[in-house]
Amino acid sequence: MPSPPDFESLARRHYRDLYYFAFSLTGNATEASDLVQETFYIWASKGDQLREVNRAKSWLFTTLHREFLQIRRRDARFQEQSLDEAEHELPHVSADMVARIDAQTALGFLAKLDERYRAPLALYYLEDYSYLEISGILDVPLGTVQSRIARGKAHLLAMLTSGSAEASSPGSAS
Amino acid sequence: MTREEAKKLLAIYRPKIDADDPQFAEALAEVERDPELARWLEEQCATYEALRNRLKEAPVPEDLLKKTLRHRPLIWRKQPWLQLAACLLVLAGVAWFWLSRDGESPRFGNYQRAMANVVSNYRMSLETGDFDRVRAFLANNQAPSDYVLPKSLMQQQLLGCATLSWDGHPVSLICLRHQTGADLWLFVRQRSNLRGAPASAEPVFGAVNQVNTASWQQAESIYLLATRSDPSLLRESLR
Repeated sequence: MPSPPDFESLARRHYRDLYYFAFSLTGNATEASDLVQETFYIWASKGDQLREVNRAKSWLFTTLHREFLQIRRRDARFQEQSLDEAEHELPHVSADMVARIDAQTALGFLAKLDERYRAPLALYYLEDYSYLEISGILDVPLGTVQSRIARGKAHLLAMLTSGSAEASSPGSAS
Repeated sequence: MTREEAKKLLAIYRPKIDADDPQFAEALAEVERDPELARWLEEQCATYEALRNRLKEAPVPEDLLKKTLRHRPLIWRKQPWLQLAACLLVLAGVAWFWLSRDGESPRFGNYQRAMANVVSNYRMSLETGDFDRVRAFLANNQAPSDYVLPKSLMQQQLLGCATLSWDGHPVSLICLRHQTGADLWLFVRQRSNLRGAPASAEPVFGAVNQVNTASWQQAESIYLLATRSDPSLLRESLR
């Protein structure tokens, strides 16, 4: 059985991807950095228990997401919100329009979405995982993952169209 | 399949990544037959690619990799020579521990000396200025986390934390920086059977190995605040 990748090469290879994922979940650079550090800290303590070495990256994403959920559970400010109906019609956003948006702003829009859409949509846009793999990483049924991606995408594109992160996010109380 | 049904399915289609996913096969076949649908999909894919590339251009904190690498714990289990060194260290530690104790329980003085040595050579496990994050991190790592920080300490700059172990007991280390720029280290552990430890919330001041300390007990925890700077900082920090 091949040995797990060493800490440094793993950190160098994936810290950026994990940071984007963490930022899309938290919307805050400091919290995202903390989450990334914690994830690699857990890897250093438990990563050698991983049997399938080629799943190291998925393991990191799963761990980061679990850590995020654990923190959110402790956060009294977090409130459950109900999902609204799926929007099948995608707002019209051209590639040119996207090109005019600053990268940090685009990531900020993603982080403004309702919490349950952020993780699947971040993996959908930032990684090459199949829907089944995203479902495994987030521990959410496949159908739910796909419908959350569809709804989240519609709302993200609506935000891009309006050009404001303050645009109504899915499931928000407003 | 109608055009609208195909659009509904293809709303989440990603070029390349989903090309072989059978759930899109029928809708993609419809794209072959319907030029308008093909144009729509082409535009969706271009927008997806543009947004994907844009998101990946967002800046990442410059020091994140450096911090991550600096805080990795020592993975001795994977290195045979480190395992041997760790065994020898444990044996030496046990021998020293048994020879230095004159009773059944470890002494607070030994703990104080050990922690004073830690301040010259330690590595933070987490660097953050968020007190809640530090508490959560310590709790997740089975280190004391139900501590009560004096108000004046809460007003100092938090740098981060580390987890330690002494005499088989977990110890939390909280690193702070006083407004004068001096470093303050707060160690927290359970009182357990630590002989000679302070028995009240009234701080006891002392010095060991050029490290000034203040120690006190609150609830079942023993607190040890240390600095290499002026001892008056300790008094001020505990007001």
